[in-house]
Amino acid sequence: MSSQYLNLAETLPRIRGSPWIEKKSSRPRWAMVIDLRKCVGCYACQAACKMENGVPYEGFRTWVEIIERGTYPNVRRAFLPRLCNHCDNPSCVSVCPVKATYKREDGIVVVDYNKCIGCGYCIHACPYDARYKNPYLGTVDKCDFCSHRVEQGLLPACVVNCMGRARIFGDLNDPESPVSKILQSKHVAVLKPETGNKPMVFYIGLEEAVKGLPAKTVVINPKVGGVVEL
Amino acid sequence: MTEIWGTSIAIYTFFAETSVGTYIISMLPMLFKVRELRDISSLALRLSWASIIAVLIPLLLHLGSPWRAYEIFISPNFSSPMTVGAWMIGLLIILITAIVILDNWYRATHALTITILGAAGLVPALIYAGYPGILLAVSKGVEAWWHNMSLPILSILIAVASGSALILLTYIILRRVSSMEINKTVLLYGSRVLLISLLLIFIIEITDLIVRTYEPGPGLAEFNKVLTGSLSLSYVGLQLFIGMIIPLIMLFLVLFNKVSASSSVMLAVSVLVLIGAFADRWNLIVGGELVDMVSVNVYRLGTFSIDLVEILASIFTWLFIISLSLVIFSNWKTETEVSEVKINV
Repeated sequence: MSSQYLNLAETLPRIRGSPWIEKKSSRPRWAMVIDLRKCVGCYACQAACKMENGVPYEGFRTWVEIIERGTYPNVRRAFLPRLCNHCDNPSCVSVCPVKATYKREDGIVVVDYNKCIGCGYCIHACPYDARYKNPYLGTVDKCDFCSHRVEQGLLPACVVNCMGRARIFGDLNDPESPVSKILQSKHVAVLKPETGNKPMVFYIGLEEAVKGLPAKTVVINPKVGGVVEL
Repeated sequence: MTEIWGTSIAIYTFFAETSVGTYIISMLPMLFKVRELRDISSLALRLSWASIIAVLIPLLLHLGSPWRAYEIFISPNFSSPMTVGAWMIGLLIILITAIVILDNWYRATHALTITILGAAGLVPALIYAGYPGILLAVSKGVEAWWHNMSLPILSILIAVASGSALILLTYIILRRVSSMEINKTVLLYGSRVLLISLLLIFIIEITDLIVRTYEPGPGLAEFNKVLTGSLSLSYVGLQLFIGMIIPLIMLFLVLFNKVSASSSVMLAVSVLVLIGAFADRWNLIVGGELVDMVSVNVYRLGTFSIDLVEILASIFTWLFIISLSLVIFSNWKTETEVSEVKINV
């Protein structure tokens, strides 16, 4: 189990001179860092997102997975917040037959609800399982980094409501932004780097959260309906 | 589990393959001078038209916002295989409708136009038949089942098999209902087409199965469990045994003259092949949906509920459109019948 995670969560090099923040531009390039060492699994981000964006009961724009490993007394529990990774090379954009999903100039991948036909192809194309079909809109829906808030200079709802300050949001093109500073100074990892999607959601402490104690694993994921013993 | 493409897409791919298969068979006498199939060419054309129209039913039913489906033509993204497929459907609907109209009312005067349009439709038909394989392969999600290079070829072969089976089935039923003589050459030639296509499908399917059993990769272990679990009845029972092995044995017996290619035998073979072709498409789509991503590259087997109402509604609508096409484009009498009428006059 742990090796599965470690293979997929490749540690990026320490970022000095990193390609992520080399691109100087007048436009922002929004990104998020999630510090797993600070996440307490309170689900405040999940609840805040649902409230802010009117996400229906059946769907999730962001969710928190709980991964328990090992057997008593050697047990480790980790929380893994998940959301759209706003990839630099998003596979959902290339498969959308009507150009309803696209990457904005600030890097946020959005869905045009007036154009989406609800075919679900992007859901299958996303390696992060970040999209869902909204039965009330008849379209696909996903996290957009609360673009309506960001445009007004506010932080996404999940970031504001994170009680452990585990979620950090900012502009990669601004070397002074908290995100840029973290990427310059800390080890970060991304999920599934082998897909080539170049995700813009970075994790601190991913290796520590998932390594070791492979004997028994229990995953609690609200998206698949609760507790799964593996 | 989160089901994105389920019953409706399985039905859609079945109708799509049947439509292309009947179209290819209908063009054989016209373009490749296969005289043995002259008697069923016009009938096959009508079946192809009915199936390509029926394709739209499950397709639109599955969309979250079907009223915006026109966007795919006014704002297309050609990097998406789905767009290419939709444009192929549009092109084929126009071409096949034009050919059926010409064949029905202007067959004598516009034979060359029919041949040219028929030839023009072959390439989009083949692209359309193979495209579900490409469409599914693009998926980056958990559906390791769909990452299979042989899928486009397999889809074209299933198109030919299901198309031939549908034509033979309809031909035999129509002849029996109207108490007319059944052309043995058609049955014999049809049995050969079915045998070759089924044999190739069988070889590819079994090879895939063996490779998949040994292939490492995230989620593949769970997919292999599907075969002995949720899909055991439809995969082993319907697709492999009823839809492939039994018809292959019957067709081999016909080939070696142990059994004659009688209408009853071919009727049974056709029904079995159609059941197998539907099961194949069902297992392909539903199999891909049966595995849940529990966490990053951690999978588990999910469950699936069969939407029987949608299956029955789509199939009855398809049969209704087939009947309607035979009534509207009623000049589908076989060449043998036409010559018989001329002699009587």
